[in-house]
Amino acid sequence: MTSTPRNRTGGRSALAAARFRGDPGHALTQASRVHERHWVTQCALARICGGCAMSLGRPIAFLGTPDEVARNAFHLPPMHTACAEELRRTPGADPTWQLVTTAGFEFVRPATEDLDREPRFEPNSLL
Amino acid sequence: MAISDVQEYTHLTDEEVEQLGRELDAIRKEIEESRGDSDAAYINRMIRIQRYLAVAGRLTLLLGTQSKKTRVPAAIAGATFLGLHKILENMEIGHNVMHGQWDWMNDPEIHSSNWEWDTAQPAEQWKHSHNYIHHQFTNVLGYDNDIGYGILRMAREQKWHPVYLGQPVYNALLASLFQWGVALHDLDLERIRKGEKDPKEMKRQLRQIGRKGRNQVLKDYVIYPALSGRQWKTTLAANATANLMRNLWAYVIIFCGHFPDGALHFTEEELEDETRAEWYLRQMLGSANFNGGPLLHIMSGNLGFQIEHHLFPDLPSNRYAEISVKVRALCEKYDIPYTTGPLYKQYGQALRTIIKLSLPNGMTSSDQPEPPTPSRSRKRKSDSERPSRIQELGVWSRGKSTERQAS
Repeated sequence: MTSTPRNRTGGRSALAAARFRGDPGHALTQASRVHERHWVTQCALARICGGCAMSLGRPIAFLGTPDEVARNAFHLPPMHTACAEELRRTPGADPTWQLVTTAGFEFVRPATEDLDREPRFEPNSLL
Repeated sequence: MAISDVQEYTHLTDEEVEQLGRELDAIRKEIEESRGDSDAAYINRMIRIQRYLAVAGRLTLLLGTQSKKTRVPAAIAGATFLGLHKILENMEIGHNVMHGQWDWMNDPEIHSSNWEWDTAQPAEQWKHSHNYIHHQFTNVLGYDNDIGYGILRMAREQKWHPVYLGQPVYNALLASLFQWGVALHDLDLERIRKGEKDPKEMKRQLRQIGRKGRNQVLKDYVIYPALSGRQWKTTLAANATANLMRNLWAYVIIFCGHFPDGALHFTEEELEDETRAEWYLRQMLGSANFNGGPLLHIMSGNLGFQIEHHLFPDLPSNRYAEISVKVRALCEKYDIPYTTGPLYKQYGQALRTIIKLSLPNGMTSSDQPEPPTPSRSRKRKSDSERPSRIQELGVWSRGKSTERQAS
């Protein structure tokens, strides 16, 4: 039996344990942290998947509400396409989330005058 | 001197910091909107040149060393070609590709997710230790492991211990074996020493380093020498020389980025709450450039524009030169230090710091320049006049985070 893989941060959330299906490539070990600012920043800079904490692939997937998609400004960290799809199916996920794929993104820290005070991602080469 | 309040150090008002941020945003936007085919052609040309250098080096060693007459010049030329190939691959290509500078091209190979570079550290660990730890917490004592790489004392605020007396020797070893020092960087030796490192994560990282290191050793010291037949010793020596060239060069360039006089250290807490403008300002004050021509900048991965690289780590490196003109003008406009100088001078200052800080503080003096003088139009505010910046701007006010939370 395969054990739940741990990632570079050494963490394993309850959600992850519940969602783990034995595929180490798509175990959402860090899915419960996708709204944490520190984690979002780490994923952005270290180029790791917000869901499983392993190196991002290409394309890069973002989940966003219709408003985020329209603004091209996402708040959930970048993910593998499979992890994003898995997260979208997870109980408690926002039913309006849409999946967008890109080759690259800009990581935008909030400015003082921004109404949106969370770091955001702006895909720069949508696929 | 470590800075605990960047805004106070620079004498900038809140509005000036935010205006500086807006002007830097405009620079960023301009590059994002104008990047295109010529930039893509640049990185593709760099990769072609790097591969030609590798092929030239291997062929020169393979063929040139077979004749006694050409053996020595072929070994020298081959080692030089290979050294240049490794420098170009590590500095201008690998480092910058892994920052995501070229992801926008949607090239399956030239992408931060796929690039694995010709050095012992696994790309995944580099992206954590460098892209995240170093770039997010630049020069923050206790956060940024690049301050001395876990073995050197590089700031006067770091407690002295007799073990630092050997610092000049450790420095020479780090420079010579730089790729192996970098390979161990993400392990975070300090946390291991303190018993804080998750053993499972440490084992995973060690396995990764072991695999990558083994492949590098096999390539440079077994397979290519074996292909040279009876001249295997010459090829092995040439490969070792090429690695040494790359190690020394990469070490010098990296140490010039944050350790010359004028590149400041910081003591702030909870840095991830700072605004974009504040983050920009910290990057500018914590980094140092060096001057040089286009070839020097290419061979140093455009890290001679360290300030611009830290402001915009994911913009294409070939644009840093034009960005630097604008950033320097902004520094003059806002009376912010823009630390730069010739390469020899910048490295000389870093080396002097390494040697001086091997001794206790009482035996040496600080070489950091005085903070910028407040201009007449910028009257420095007293504490009672300065608005609280905690809620609006983050954490650059004095006091511990627990005190702030209590207030």
